[in-house]
Amino acid sequence: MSYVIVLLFGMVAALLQSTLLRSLFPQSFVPDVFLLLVLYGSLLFPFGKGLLLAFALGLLSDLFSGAPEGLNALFSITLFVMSKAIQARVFMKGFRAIWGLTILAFALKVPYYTLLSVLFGLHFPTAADGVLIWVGEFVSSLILMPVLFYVVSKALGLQGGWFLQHQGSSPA
Amino acid sequence: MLFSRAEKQPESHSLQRGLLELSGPFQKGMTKGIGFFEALWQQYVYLVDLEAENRLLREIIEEMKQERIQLLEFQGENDRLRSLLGFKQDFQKPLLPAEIIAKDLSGWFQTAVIDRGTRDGIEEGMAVVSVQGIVGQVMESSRGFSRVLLITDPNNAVAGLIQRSRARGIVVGNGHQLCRVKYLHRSEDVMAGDLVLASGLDGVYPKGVLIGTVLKAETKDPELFQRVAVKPSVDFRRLEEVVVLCEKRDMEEKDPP
Repeated sequence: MSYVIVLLFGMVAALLQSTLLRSLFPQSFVPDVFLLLVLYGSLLFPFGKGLLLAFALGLLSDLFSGAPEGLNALFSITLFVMSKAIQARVFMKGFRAIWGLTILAFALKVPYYTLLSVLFGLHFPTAADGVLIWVGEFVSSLILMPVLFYVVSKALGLQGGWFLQHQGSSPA
Repeated sequence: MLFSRAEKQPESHSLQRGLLELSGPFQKGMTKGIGFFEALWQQYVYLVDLEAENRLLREIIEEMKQERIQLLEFQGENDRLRSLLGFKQDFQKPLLPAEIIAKDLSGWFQTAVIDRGTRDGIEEGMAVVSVQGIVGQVMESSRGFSRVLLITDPNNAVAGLIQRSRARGIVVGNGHQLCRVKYLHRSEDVMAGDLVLASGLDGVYPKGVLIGTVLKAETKDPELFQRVAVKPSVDFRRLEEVVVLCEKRDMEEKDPP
């Protein structure tokens, strides 16, 4: 049930982001809500169902944007697996864990998009404009991250109500 | 009695004065008291009604302010629709007005969602324009809605020409509010402020529709083509209404030069 809540939360966030928030904030200042939810899911959910959730979130991200279907779905799965692999080797806890994973995810986005543009002929913004978009997305995501995770934790009814405190305790 | 009073005038006068002197303070007190209560009534008790009246008037003012805002909004919409109507008369092809209801979720792609779909006759590849100029083209449609790829997206391309020198190039988006003209030879005459129009050669956009204005044009020595930045004439942040050109153009259909 908690997977559905996260998925619904992603949909509501996407609807808000594509309508109200796009009118209020500058064009490049757009947080990647789905990427944050995938990372959060990787800390909360077991591998199998978490992977499905990551795929679903990625696909939703593709559907809500003009990206070709599969672009973000593949990236979400990659991020989820990477995050799980890191968690299996490194003991991660608290704010620094999710912060570190977010920075890593955004760092991976650049070579991933470059690879896609070479392999599939997709056109992305040029370097100067791409950096502007990337920085806007990165900063806005870092700002939104604690708020988003707190709200999702509350929605899932996790003990403590704050994502720092429920490491290792999966929601029912 | 009159005579007796007339004869005793000085005494009666004194009596009258005494009465006046005696009654004066009471009268004064009474008058002041009445004045006090009148003032109390006027300034406090009566103000209860005044307060209610004041509230009512404030409500009326608020309602009128709201109505004024709505009227201004309607006036703005009316002006825009009039412009669209005039714009529609300029085109000989069927146009379908639409409203932008959402924008792209990410900053990497420049798309917008409009409230018209296949049931309104919209198909993929149809051109979307506004009074200011070219907006983009329909990239996917459902029954009631369509996604439009804006000209600022790097995956969109429009065959364009410089109005002044008639130099031709391909206008592509830079992914961030601006466009650039590709394949414009270094020998071509282009300068800042030149208008860029659709050449009609791409088979999507009709010839002559405004794309934007040249911001800067520079030539670097080993490069064969110029670097030309174009500011789209459409303000995508404030864009609300668009029109879809409901007739797809064939590649064979050429506009007269």
